[in-house]
Parts: sequence; C-alpha cells; structure tokens
Amino acid sequence: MSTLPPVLRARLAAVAAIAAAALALPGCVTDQGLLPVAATRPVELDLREVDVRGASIHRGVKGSDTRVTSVLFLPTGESPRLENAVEDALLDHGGDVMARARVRTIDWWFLIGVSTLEVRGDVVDLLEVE
Amino acid sequence: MRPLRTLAAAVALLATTGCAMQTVPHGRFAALTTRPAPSLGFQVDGATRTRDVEAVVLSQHFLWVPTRTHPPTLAEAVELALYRGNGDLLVDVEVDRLFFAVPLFYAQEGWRVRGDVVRSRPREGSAAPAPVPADDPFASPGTAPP
Repeated sequence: MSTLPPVLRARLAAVAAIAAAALALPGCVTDQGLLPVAATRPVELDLREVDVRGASIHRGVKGSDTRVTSVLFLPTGESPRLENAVEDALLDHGGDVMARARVRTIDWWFLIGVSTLEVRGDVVDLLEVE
Repeated sequence: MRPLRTLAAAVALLATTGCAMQTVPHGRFAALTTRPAPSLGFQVDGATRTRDVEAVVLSQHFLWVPTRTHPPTLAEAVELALYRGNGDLLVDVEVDRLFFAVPLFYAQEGWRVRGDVVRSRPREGSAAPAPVPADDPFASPGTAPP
C-alpha cells in the first residue's frame, strides 16, 4: 500500500468508503399498520351467531412471504404478497381469520434485493365452534 | 468521445430498466378493517353496503427525495376506503401494491384497495353498549370484562 502513488491511494480510500457506506445504508423496515381483522377466506364475523367459547385462539403468530425482487439492480418481477403471508400464519395453526394483525415490510439490498412481507397477530379458528 | 460513451451507457441503463409501472396483486380478502372490532363482531347481514369503493395512497420521489415524511401504508389505504364508504369493514377486497419509476429521476409507490364497505349495524333493541363475551376472540388481551 505504501508503494502506491498518493493519487491512487486516495482513490482506493474513496472507493472503500463508498463500499462501506453502500453496505451500511441499504435496508428498511416499514410498518404498514395494524389490521384488527384480516380474513383471506369467507368467515362468520358476526359473533352473535357463533359460540366464541369454542373458538381456538393462537396469539402472536407470525406469517411471512419473502421474494428476491432484484439481481444486480435488474427487477425479477417477483414480489411478496400479503395474502400469502396471512395464509402462512393461518395454515400454521389451522385458523380462519387473523385478529390484530401487525403488517410490516422488510427490504434490503446488496447486489440482490430481498423483500419480506410479515404479519404478526392472533389466529382465530371460528369453524370449530358448535 | 468519452462523454458520448458515458451518455450512451446511461441511456442503455435507462432503457434496460425502463419506465416500469408495476401493479403487484397482494390478493383478495374476504374482510379487512383498521377499525376496532365490535365486541359482538361485525353484523354484516342487512348492513348498509357501499359497493366498489377504491382508495389509493401514493408517495412520490423526485431525484430520490420523497414528497412525504412517511411512506404510504396499507392501513392508510384501508382507512381511506372506510372513510369514503362511511363504514367500518371492507369485504371482498382486492389489495394491490403500485410502483412506477423513471429510474434515477422520478418514482411513485403506494397501495390500492378496492372492495365493498359495510357499515355494520348497531345492536338491535337498545343503545346501550353490548356486553363483551368472556372469550371474545377479537378483544385485546387484558381488556376482558370483570
């Protein structure tokens, strides 16, 4: 390094600084909000009609859908879907509807872009009620 | 000659990425809401229904500088649709993510929701608040009645 000319050394240092910044900067998490009710399938939402004592509730369930959205800045055409994330949570516990679902998107980029859509909430199974 | 090559490379890059209008379908939902669920659930049968309500929330970026202090969110789009339809529940909802960009110069991103807005009926017979069932699945933890 000491044998390099000062101009080249300065350029290498600048490239290294930019590369470090590029590694440190990308990536973000966006809170998409809270949905008290999110149902992907037809479900009875009138609780007068169901015996809620028979419903099973799983709290704090997480569902997600992750896709590679770009490779070397070229879009892949893929994108995570909210429906898949909710279904992931529902299928995990055999539920019908999500309650108090907190939705957020997580994106990061380094040569490839990866995007995740995540839901976290309570999974309610209303079909089991008599 | 060198500036010409740089310009040609820039044009090629723009042509490769293109002005892309992307509508990413996020699926169809039986029900969505941002409003707290009533203790007896949503009484949908016979409720007032406003059909085909659409709400779009967008953020624009000029030279990567956003025009809003916070990004558009799904909850914001749902809330706008409920406000427009004067209801508290969206049913038969289509959710789309929108994205349009002229690379490097301009971009817009946001959410679109389309569906029927239902104003679920208040409990029949009285104006008094409905009793909360002990095992209300939509109730927040720690808010169960005494």
